[in-house]
Amino acid sequence: MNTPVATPRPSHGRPASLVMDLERLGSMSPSRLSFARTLLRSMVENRWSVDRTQFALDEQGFGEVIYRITTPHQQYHVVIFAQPLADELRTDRVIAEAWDVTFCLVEGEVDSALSASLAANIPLQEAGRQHPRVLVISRANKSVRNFAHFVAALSSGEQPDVGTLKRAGYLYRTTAVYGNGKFGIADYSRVQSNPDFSRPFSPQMAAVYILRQFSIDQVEHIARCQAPNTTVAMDRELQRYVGIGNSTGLGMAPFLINHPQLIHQWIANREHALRKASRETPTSEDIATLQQKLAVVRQYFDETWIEDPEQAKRNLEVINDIDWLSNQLNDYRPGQWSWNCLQESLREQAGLETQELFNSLLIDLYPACTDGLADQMAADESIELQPEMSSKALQQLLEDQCAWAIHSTYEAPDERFWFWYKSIEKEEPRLGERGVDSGSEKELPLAVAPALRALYQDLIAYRVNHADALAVEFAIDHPEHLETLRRAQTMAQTEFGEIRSNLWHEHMKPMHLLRAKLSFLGANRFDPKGDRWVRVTFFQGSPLLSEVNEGAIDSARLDDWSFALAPKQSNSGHP
Amino acid sequence: MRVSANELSSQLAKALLGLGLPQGISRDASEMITWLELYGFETSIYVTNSLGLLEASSTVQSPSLAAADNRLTIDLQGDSALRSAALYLELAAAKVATVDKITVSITQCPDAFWLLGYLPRLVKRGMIVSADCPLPRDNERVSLSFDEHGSPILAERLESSDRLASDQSVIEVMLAPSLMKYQPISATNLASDEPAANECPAPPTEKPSATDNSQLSNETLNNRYQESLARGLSVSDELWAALKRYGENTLVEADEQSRQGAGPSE
Repeated sequence: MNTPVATPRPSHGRPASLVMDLERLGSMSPSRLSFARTLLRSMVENRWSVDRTQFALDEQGFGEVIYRITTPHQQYHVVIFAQPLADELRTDRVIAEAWDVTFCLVEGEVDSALSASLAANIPLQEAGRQHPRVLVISRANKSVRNFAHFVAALSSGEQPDVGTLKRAGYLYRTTAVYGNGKFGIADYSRVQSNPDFSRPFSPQMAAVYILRQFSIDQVEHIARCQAPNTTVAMDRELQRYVGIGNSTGLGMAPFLINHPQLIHQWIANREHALRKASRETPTSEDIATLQQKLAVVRQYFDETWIEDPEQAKRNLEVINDIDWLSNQLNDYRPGQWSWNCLQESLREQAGLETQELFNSLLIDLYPACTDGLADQMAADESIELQPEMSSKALQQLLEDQCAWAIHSTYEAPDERFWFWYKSIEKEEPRLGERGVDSGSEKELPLAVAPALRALYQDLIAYRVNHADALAVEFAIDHPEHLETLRRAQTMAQTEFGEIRSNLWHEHMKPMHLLRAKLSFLGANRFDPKGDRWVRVTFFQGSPLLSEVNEGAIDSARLDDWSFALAPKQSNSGHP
Repeated sequence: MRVSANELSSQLAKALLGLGLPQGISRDASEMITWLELYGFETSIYVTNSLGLLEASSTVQSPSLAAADNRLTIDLQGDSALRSAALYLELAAAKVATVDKITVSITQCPDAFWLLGYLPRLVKRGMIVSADCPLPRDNERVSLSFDEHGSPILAERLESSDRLASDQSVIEVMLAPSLMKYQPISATNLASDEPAANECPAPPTEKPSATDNSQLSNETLNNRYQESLARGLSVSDELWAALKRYGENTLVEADEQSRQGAGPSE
């Protein structure tokens, strides 16, 4: 598949000044364009099959399991190692050195030599040297409470209490999922041309989806080993409600800054789908469908237990907003108003979370509005200098395109409060308080806004004596601005790549960066821990592997699981 | 050890940042080196020398530039090509739209060959590019041109019986707008006493007498590229350790307070 070039679309929709506000980005919900959902649709449409080819676990569930993925093009294997882990060593931090489970997605066959190499290196993760046929490496830790409860319940002949999954919707949560050549695995340029995994993050999503099945298989196995005579299988509805958690911290934040063309492509496509959906004239059937969906979403937020009090409060606000929205829809008569009108009303009436939730639901309401877009989420990420641009034109470009950044001085204490850096401990990104924490001299160049300001100031000073200079001549004399200069030139041709926020600002919340990307990945159940970590859940409510293998899922069921509801259970735990 | 292309490029960039090079320069330099490795030119063994040149920044004089007709000559005063030489190629690229062709000669640069890895970027922007350059191995030089995708299509390695003096280290790059018909520099042109049909200037070095003319086709080079992606790139443990060491200059020592800088996860 050719990589599409990030080109601006005719924009008659929402302006970048609105869409690229950091807090709004951090309020996004997953939609039909999210990568977890596009993966599952693709698996069914292309008739992938997955079978378990090795299941070598001891009675405690430790050992190795292999799942084979067969596509029309070739085969892959997800190889999973489960190992003992002392509770005091279990941490979600990047600096961890041991995990409950480590796993990988491998292209092609796993012969004995590769198997031995994987066994030696996958459990080491960053400390190992991985094989170039490995597309993804990752690791996960148990939700200890959920895991123990599930084993105990199943082994005693009972279904686990679904309430446990309302609190933490998973048995395992990943703490990093690596692709793109990390630690010796396959480069993205090799995966780009792979017809099965050419969409961004599709191999990562596939590996995580298989881990979900493993978590179910493992817990059933352990229960069977403990009590072979009384153990029952996990009910299918409960299986669907098991997702895979993910714990994400600042490690994800640089991605949003370092891949502006990709971010532009994702958001431009979402906005394009939203514009198309917004132009539809609401019919009575559309309203009825949306009402049903809102009822599901309302129940979802109502029954989802979130630990963070701020997020819990926001979820309550969403519920209130949904009630208001439902009333508006109840009163609708055909032709009375358009979706655009309703969106305008929401901007006045509802919080950002509800506004963006509604936009995701609107995109889902009209699946055709996303036709073709799922295959256009990659981007040409080359950032090249336009050397022949005059310095005068460059100055004009900065004034026209970067006004959001160049007019602040970044001298007030709150405007330069934070600095981003990488720790020597596994190169973990961290935030330091300027003037308090050490390391500011090694600051990461993530704050684009102050960099644009510095470029602009130096360019104006330069042009006093070099009015007719070219951009490249300025760059030769000021190489420290080269990266910012060509980024500004490149991003001037796009609409949505720059996050319009000062990442030094005291009130900047990194959480918004994380959540923006996670929504595109397809995560839900956002449960922040402070403003630098968040736990989310993937694939909760999604079709099971057996359903994907059967291929006999109706399109509504295949794709309609972003807001999974807990299966009903009797008091005894049986459905 | 074997590493992925992304790993090599990332670690090189960190090392160069750790040596004090600006972000954009570091990125370009790391991509240049990685490109040459991907196409099997086996030049990573010379990275350490270049890092040494960069470390000696206090003794570096600024490049001097001479422009005449359609030729730019840049004297790098013995500095590494990784520092800023690519920007002079960009300077030529800025002017190429207004001329038939422009030749860039970079002299006094012991590792000018790295710039071969920058040229595909100019090709992808629509220029016709060819280059002639000595490789660091004794008595060897390479002549490259590119297809429209930036893949090398003609690479000739010549052994020269006349070894270049180190102070005559030079890379010649010819740029032309894509609409012009152009014949790239080739070993044939270099070896002949006749001027090239399109008036390619003879390189300033003494013409080699070709004792070995090993021609690498576009297909061979592309196969090397695919194999590099499939198998990874070979890097010596010593080089990797050196890159890590330089890269650590960009990392901040950790303490309990700094761990709080990542926030609580539990």
